[in-house]
Amino acid sequence: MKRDRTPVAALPGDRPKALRFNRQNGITLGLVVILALLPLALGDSTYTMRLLIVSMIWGGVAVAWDLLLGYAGIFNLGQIGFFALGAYASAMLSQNAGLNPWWGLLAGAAVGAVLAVLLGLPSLRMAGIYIALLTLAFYEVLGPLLTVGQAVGTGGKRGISPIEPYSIGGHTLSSGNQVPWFYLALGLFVLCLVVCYFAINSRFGASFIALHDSEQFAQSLGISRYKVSLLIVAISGTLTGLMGAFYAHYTGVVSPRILGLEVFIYLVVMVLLGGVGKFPGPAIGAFVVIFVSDWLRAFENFRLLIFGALVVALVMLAPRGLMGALDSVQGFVHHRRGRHAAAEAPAAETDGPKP
Amino acid sequence: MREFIEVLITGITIGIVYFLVAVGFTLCYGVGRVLNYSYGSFFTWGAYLAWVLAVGYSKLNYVLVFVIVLPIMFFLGVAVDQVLIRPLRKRPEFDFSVILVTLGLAVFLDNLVLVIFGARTKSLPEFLTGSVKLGGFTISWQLIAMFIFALVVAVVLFVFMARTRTGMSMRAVAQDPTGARIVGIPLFRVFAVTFGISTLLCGAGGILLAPRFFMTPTGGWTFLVKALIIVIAGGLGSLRGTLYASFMLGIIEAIVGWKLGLLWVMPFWFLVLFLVLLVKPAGLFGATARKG
Amino acid sequence: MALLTLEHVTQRFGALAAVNDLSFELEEGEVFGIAGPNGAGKTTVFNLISGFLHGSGRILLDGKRIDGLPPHRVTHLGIARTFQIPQPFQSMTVVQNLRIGEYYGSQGRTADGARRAPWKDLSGLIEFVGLQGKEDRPVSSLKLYDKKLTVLASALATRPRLVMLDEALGGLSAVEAELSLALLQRLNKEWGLTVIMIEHLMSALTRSCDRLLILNNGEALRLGEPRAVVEDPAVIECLVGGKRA
Repeated sequence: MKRDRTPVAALPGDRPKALRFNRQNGITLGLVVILALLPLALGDSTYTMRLLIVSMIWGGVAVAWDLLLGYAGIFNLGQIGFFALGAYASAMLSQNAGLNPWWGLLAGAAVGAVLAVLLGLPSLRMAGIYIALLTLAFYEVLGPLLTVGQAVGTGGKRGISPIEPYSIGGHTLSSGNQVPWFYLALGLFVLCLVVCYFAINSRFGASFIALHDSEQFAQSLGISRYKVSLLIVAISGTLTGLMGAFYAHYTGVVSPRILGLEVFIYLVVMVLLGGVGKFPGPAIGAFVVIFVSDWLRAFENFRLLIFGALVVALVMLAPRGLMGALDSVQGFVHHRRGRHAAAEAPAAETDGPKP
Repeated sequence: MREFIEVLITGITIGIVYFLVAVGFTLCYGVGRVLNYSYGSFFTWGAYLAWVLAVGYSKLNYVLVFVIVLPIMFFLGVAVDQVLIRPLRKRPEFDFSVILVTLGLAVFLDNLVLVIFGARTKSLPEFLTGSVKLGGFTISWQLIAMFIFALVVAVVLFVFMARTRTGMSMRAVAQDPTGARIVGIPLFRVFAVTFGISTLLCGAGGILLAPRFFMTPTGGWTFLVKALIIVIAGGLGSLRGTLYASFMLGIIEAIVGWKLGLLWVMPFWFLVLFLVLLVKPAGLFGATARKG
Repeated sequence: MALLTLEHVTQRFGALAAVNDLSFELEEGEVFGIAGPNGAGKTTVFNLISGFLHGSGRILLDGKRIDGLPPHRVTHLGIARTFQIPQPFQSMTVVQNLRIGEYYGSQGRTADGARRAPWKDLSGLIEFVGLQGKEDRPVSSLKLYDKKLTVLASALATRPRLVMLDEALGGLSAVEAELSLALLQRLNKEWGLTVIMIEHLMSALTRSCDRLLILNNGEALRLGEPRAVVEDPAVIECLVGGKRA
């Protein structure tokens, strides 16, 4: 999927391009604006609002994950581990230590970052393939660890519940009114999008894309593989831990079930469907997955069967996802309009000529 | 002390079965560069197929069960390689695509089992009942049977790798795929056979261990992770490392399970893995983990 | 003082010594050639100097040890290199490749502690290597020669003092090879860069090098004035025999 990635928008020297209007930020902006207006249209449809909030939480995680998978080429399969520990950290601080839930957001982000760096330290020194092995082992071991960790307050198999919700100015948020939750989630979702967008379209972004494209060449031009990889892992972990913390207080429960295969495969489908390395595709993938999975609720046991088959089908048949399909359509239109259209558009928005 | 030795014997026996499972995984990577994340599901499938034959739908003898199930596992593996893995080989990011496709396949296969057999745990009866007293130690026949079965499979595997044409081609491909192709080894056939052997080994592990653990549709994941940890600790692609790591972790499992309960096994395994990697980043017998 | 010094450098891969007890010195402004049969350890020497491999022995730049440093640190100290198979950044354009070198290569400090000023304008460099008109082409659309030039120009954009060229002429047409050689000579004469080049083409080496090192099985077979070296019977046997193997 390396060759299909949208070329970098900005490089040292042409930084303002990140702020220039292009398809990447256009779609992102459109998505956010529509989301911001949706509560007005939906009014009191609590159920749909819930789905949207969950979509935004996972959308944030999906773009953060894609930063590693699609842009930096780091096969971290333990992303949900960061999410779960962010959730646990926040929940434990508020339930066991009595801390204000707002602090939990910071704690969740910090835990995500620290954990990502800790896991990154040994694995980034090794070949790429080891990272996939080690992080999956970490993810799989975390469930048993949290279960046996009752002594430190993880609540064992049943987890922690209920978890205190946030309160704003003495007014505690309730599940009856989803609107404040919605805008809180939107705020965090936008934070994830903005951080990832600027991480990709910056000098720093150029360095990890360079490492992904051609590792030795990048190093020989003065890029520190270790430093860049750790930083990108830390950013991704921070955002994921933050979303985990919010998730804990929003749903009011965390348990080892969050580490189940179901959640993992959903996240995989989100990224694949949206397009690996195609910001903001994975975020859009999150909305599709959450809504489709809700729609498939009636099928219960068949749901995961379908999602498993979907992952296989996507990798085999449409590895570039929705955003990739959009590229093809755009390429086709450009082709029809003649070459001058493609030449006028900034290099960042056109695909390289197909071999 | 006597109890401890008995636990140790159990550990060694589990160790040899884990070795079979892990060796299949590492073989698949060493020869075909495939990290097979659906490996755990093949484990489950092996166990469930055996259950169908031995318990569910007929009451076949265990030897017959092996004779029927192992070829099925082999061809299942070959089919997966041909249909899913082979088309990906021309992709620039083969590694990444394979991880995702096998993850998806794992979820699909697990849930197929769930849909067909339901979520209730199943169990395979022991191959042999009763136990034997040897110099003061009580060893169950089941354990002895497991040990012998696993040993036979392991020996057959080693002879196959060392003596047969196919086995030697596999080793050649593992060392140098380009060179192997130049001398006329049919790469894609070797990849397919390797995949088949790896699923066969995994299925054999599934049958051998099923009487010890309860079978659930998603139970295979534990064994995928166990194979992963063994393989990382031993050094990816190293047979010797896999062997040592299997026995080490099998014994640790037996001791931890005996003293603290099975729930603590995985945390302990991970701890051991972490310590091993701290001292030797490439695993016990890994050559150089860093490329280039 | 010598610019670059290798003292008893050894690199083993398992039982095989790819480079075995190699020592030589390099003067500032020199063009230094390395030749030898396939598998003689030529590229391994480059990988050792540029920090991709860490063997035993000492490597010094201006008398300060650089063995043990990671590749990007070596680059910051002023050693640039190219690769046998050019792999520029596929998802970027030519000029974006150069900018990576310009920006990241000039970070950090040189050995004397001064900060090197990066090149703001890369058009001079692009013209120098002959890539004008192709600046904004995606690298994936280039032919081999232009890819090699992109890699070379990106390496030069790090503002090195010493540049190491790994088979700069390999796979090129006769005309392209001539152009590359001319480029190399200008690098040395006009820019005052010290050059180490690995090459198979003996005529190119004798024409452009001040000194020539012949490697065989990781060891120095001969080192000296190129014409004298290539006429040495031991060298002829090693190279001809090596080609036949």
